[in-house]
Amino acid sequence: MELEKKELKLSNGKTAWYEYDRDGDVLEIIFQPAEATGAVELTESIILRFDWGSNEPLSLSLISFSRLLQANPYGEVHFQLLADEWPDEVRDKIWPMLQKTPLSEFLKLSGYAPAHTHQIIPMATIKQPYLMPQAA
Amino acid sequence: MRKWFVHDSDGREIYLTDERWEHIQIRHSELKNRLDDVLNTVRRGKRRQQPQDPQAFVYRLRCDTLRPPFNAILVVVVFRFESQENNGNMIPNNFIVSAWGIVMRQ
Repeated sequence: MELEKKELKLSNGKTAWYEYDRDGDVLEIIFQPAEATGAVELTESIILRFDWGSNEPLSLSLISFSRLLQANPYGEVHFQLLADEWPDEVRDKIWPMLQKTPLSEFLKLSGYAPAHTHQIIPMATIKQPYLMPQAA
Repeated sequence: MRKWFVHDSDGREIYLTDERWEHIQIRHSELKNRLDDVLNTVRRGKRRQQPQDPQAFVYRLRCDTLRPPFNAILVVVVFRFESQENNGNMIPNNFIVSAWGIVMRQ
């Protein structure tokens, strides 16, 4: 199991780093090396670990990472946020986290309005692929 | 290298290496010393194919004995093939990539 590691400079001056497991095709972006006290599936392919007390994100894990960034003919790919699977108290923590750095540097929020419904489905796009390792 | 072997609910053989297990325990400490629970997630968990990668699957199973608020385990398994050294035949190479404790709606 070999991990490719690289430091990332964030806009707030802090340093994060990623570890890419090429065999498993999982990329983990680590903001703080602290023990997580909460974690959720943000999307079917992204796991967020965070500190329950301070509401600070600790890491993002991207499953099948090389596939997530593959080009498609329609432009950016938007991944559905699995908000329905988050307990209410977790939702209250996640939404503010998603809207500020460091998560906002890697994920862009949007909403999808399907035809014939009033429901808006929360989505996220992966940003800054230039910081990431080359796809496997 | 030590490996643990497990079969999922449809009989697919999947292994976990001790190297990956050590990494899981260091990085995802809510699963420290929870090897049986991680393997049990593959044995009995609900399986979901990753939409962008047909060779990758997620197994999830509720686990109420994790330290709160964690209440479920998520395991990523990839289903690959490798060639046998003696005859070049392709054989399955299904292994656990990583595992996480997560919080799910009850």
